[in-house]
Amino acid sequence: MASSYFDEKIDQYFTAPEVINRIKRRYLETSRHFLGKNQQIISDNVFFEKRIQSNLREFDESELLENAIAYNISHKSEELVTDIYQSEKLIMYLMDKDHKINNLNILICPPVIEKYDVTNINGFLDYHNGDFFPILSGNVPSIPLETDFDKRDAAAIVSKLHDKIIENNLIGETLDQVTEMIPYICDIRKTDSGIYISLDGNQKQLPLSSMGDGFISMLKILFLSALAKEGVVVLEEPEVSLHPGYIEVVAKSILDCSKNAQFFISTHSKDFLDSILENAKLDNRLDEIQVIKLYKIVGMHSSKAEIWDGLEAVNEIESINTDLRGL
Amino acid sequence: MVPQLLCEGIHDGIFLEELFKVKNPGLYSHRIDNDISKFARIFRNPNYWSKCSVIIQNDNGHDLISKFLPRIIQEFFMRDKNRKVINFYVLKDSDGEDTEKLINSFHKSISESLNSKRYPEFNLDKFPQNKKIIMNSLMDDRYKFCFQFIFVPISFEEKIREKALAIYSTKISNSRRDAIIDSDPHDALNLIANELELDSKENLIRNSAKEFWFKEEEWYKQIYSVI
Repeated sequence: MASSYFDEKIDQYFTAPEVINRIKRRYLETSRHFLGKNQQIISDNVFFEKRIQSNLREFDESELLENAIAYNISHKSEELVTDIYQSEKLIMYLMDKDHKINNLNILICPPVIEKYDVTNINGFLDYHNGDFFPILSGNVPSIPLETDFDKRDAAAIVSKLHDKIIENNLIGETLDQVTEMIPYICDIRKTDSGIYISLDGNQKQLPLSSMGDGFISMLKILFLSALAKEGVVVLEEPEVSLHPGYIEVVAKSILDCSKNAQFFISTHSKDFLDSILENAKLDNRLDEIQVIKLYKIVGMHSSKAEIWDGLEAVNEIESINTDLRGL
Repeated sequence: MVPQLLCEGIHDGIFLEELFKVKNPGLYSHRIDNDISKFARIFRNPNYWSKCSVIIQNDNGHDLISKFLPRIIQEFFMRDKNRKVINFYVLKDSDGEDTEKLINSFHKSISESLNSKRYPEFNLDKFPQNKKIIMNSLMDDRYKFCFQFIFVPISFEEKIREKALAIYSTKISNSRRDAIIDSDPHDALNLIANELELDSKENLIRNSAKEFWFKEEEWYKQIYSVI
């Protein structure tokens, strides 16, 4: 989503007539400056001086010049894309009352910033005000955002999410997804005493709180991704308190749901990371995954990030069994 | 910080483990076969550092320079305030190449790998004549990784084959001798182990350490002096 937004903005920028004219002007100034230097060296030679002026006029009007400028613009555009993707960024967003991102500010930070201990973001921004280069600032099409940081009563959270699903009139398609992913579920209903699950071959409805942690986590992820369709889901350590067997199931659910939403997940679990990568490999979707490993540099109040795509990450594990979590 | 030995492939690792045992009876060594995550686990556990006298790590036989060393640097450089200068001894086959050229090439390969990961806060200096690559932190000059390379001429497996044929010339028949010479060095170790009635090539390698087969060789003297 962000990458297509960047591409679109960069494209818009480099096709704007005033930008093209500015680049053209700078290009010509540079060319004249270069020819001017030669002119000084041979200024006493009237013949050469005339030739240079005449060449410059021809150069201005030639097709060659247009091609050179087009090449220059395309080169600058590629450079900017690379710079934007590779630079450290500070991203700030505003959400509306429906919990959707509608204002996004993305700023490129100079590399020196990462050497500071950022404990007070406002003070830090004031101090470094001049260091930031805004690349995107303003209103954007609404982006649904769903987060899950609460590790307490998971069944109660699922119940609240279920309410939101009903409010947003998403229950039909969500139930279809749930039954497709968990075929032994027939129905999910909320009563005054909580959520009840109907299971295939079992006439009695079971309260959600009596189901296993893995099942509840899986349901939570399904609900979150349904609410954040075409948006963003942020999960903090979804593997916490899960049996390794359930971790596999939850990882698979996240991968399946990520077809509809962008997931950001933090984890300390090697099992979870391995499972996400193994499932992505089986589904031929390794190129859709990025692993960001954060290093803390001892005594420096600094950290570094190393970024792998899914294929690189799997390669690292398979060749030398690197622990992607770091130390 | 206990000495750390890095080497190429499991055979070299077995040899170093046995050699350490022979030289330092009663001391504890830890061998890690191609598993950086296992080293990370050891690194997190202070108990290991008090009880273990040497750590021997080997790669999968191919990725020592291109993957293993850059990964060690990325994971462990500047990560522990108690271990500011860390020495690594790297046992590597020269494969018949000039060793100074090899150091230059390793330096280039490691630099490229680290730079591609945007890991800029260090100087990576090479000392081809001393067979050393040293990494200094630019953020805090107390941190240093020193990689001292020790080269086995040709390859370790080739050395074992050569010595076994020389030492046990009377035990190995001429026909088997020809088969051993014609085989790939790795296969040759199995043939030699069979001829010498050893259970496996691992035992053959351990024997070569116990019986000091290479005591006259420069690479052996260097590695023996640091373990």
